[in-house]
Amino acid sequence: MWSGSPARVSRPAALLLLAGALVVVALLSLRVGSIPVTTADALAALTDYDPDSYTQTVVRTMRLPRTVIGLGVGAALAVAGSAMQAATRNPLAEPSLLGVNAGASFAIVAAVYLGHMTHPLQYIWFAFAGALGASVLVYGIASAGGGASPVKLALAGVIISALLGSWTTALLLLNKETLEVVRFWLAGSLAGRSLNLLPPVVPFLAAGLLGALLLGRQLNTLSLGEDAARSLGMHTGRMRAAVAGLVVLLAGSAVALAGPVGFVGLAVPHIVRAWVGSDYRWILPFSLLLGPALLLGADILGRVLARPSELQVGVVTALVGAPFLISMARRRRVAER
Amino acid sequence: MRVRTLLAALLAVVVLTGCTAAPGNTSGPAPGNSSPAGNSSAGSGSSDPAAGDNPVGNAESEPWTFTDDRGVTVTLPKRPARVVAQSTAAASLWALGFEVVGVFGPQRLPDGSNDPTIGDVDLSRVTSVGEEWGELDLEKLAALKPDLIVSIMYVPPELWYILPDVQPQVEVIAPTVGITVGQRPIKEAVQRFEDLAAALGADLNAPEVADARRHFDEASAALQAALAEKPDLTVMFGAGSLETLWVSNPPYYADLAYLQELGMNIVVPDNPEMYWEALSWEQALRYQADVLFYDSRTGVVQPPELAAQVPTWNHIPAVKAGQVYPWVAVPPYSWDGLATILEDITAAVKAADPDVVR
Repeated sequence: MWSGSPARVSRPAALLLLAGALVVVALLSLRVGSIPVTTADALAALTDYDPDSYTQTVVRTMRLPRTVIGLGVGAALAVAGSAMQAATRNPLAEPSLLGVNAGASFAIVAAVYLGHMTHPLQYIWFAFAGALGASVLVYGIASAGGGASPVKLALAGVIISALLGSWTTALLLLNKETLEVVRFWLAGSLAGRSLNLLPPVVPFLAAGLLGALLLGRQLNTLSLGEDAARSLGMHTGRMRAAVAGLVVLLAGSAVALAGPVGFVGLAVPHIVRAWVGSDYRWILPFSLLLGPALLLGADILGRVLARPSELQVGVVTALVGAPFLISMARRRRVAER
Repeated sequence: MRVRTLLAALLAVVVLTGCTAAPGNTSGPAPGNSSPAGNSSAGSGSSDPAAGDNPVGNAESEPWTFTDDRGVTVTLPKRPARVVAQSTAAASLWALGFEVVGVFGPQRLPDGSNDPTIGDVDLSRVTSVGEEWGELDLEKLAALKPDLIVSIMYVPPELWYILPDVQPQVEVIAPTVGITVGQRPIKEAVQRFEDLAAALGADLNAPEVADARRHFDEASAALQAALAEKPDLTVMFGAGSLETLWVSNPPYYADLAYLQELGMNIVVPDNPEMYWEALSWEQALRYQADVLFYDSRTGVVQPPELAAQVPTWNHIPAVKAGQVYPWVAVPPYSWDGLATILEDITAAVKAADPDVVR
């Protein structure tokens, strides 16, 4: 384990700087896109919206929702990833590992196919239910025959994800209308999402973020490993279950809002750890800010790269994330961590 | 092709890393893909059909040959009787009096009526071997014991609705014939179907065929006259999803090129990728026209949903003016079928206000 922080700037100061950077990225997300918008128009769209102005319509009805949703999704994914990496001691852990993404995706496709629910407001509940169901299943399988060790969790997660993924594919093949309804959502995108999705999701998202931030000290203990944590008096099984619950809330919210978006939950904790060290009381708040900054940055990149068209943010994070993962695996020898 | 190449590379990354689950088909009938460029990486422009060298009226007993638009010559011991065809090809042959035994490709609309693509084919008299893109049922196809399989080509030599990876298996079942319909004058495309139908034994001297041809010529003249009365009318053709607006590129579409010939001012996108230019919805006002003809196929997000979910759609001048009309983006290549489409367009042109954009 590498230790300590470079600490040229104190961590509170760095956190403030990061918060400032996030504000800048969020403003850029309003300002930069597939058509040019002046700063004046972008600001007017927020303060004095004129629905007849085309550029203001673009800012207010398209860029503002995707920015706000991107903030929530980025925070949820990054914090969930950090918590999972601590709880499982698996540096490759991210929300999809517990089968959360696969469960949410399958539940949504099933809801659309069987229940003819075509509006996101109807099917986000299924995202939570699916995320919960899949993670309980994964946890149950991993615990069978004593203790859900990180390796067993990872294996169970991979198996359940693959299984649910194939069921999802089967449902989509059975019915083309299902495909039409969810294809857009399954791609992992911030575009075309409505702010109406936020109110029902926000309570879960907020509870997940708050809960995770309060668990910093316990996550530090848990990340020492099963035996050390037990010897320090921690009921590790109960703690892992609590973390899994928070991850379901966070990842379920993220999937409900944006569809499955990869790599943010994986990459952000690593960047943050390299920056501020291994104390989860710091890792979590830094992840909370860096996650949305990275996700919005990727979304902006996707709007600029393929202009006049756009790339979905899930595609951009995968594009940027894959080389990151490879370099991380080579530099840090993460597998031995 | 740059964006497409980039996208392919990105998709490869997604698939290889498996981290962004996008089940279902990225290569399936997305509006982009099912818009008539297919999903081809094959070189285009190789269509130099060897037209007209087919002996018409092969007798039943003699060996039968036909050279298709890939330059492939099919030789069979006798004239094929059992033909399975992609919807467009089936509709085109059916209109000339040749009845296929099986079809693949779009057949029914959600309300149960015939999809425009399949024309007047009597669906109760044919067997379906798949409707969706990539859904060709090879066992069912083989069970039909076809003598010949026919499809159209937008990007030769790829047969539409026969994915390249199953084509070898299809060829084992029966030889294939491809008729080019993209980047080709529409009359030439219809005439190629006449060549094929005649070779298959259809009677092109039947009075219905002459009537249909007359119907087409009259509809063309009527549209030409309607357009001449509104010289300032501008028109755009396109399709959309919740993320993307596709603006059609007229020279690639036989129908749009023909409409241009009749005097229609059609928007030509600046940077098309063959059949269309893909725009984000932020760019909805990039090209403007008085009238918008919008792809009416199932699988393409339709105007009512766009109006509800895509705010910039409602800023498009033609939308504001209520001048959005359905476009049969994959027409049957038959005189009658095309005439009906032309008549609908004529009605739209006559009703349209030509001064929505100036």
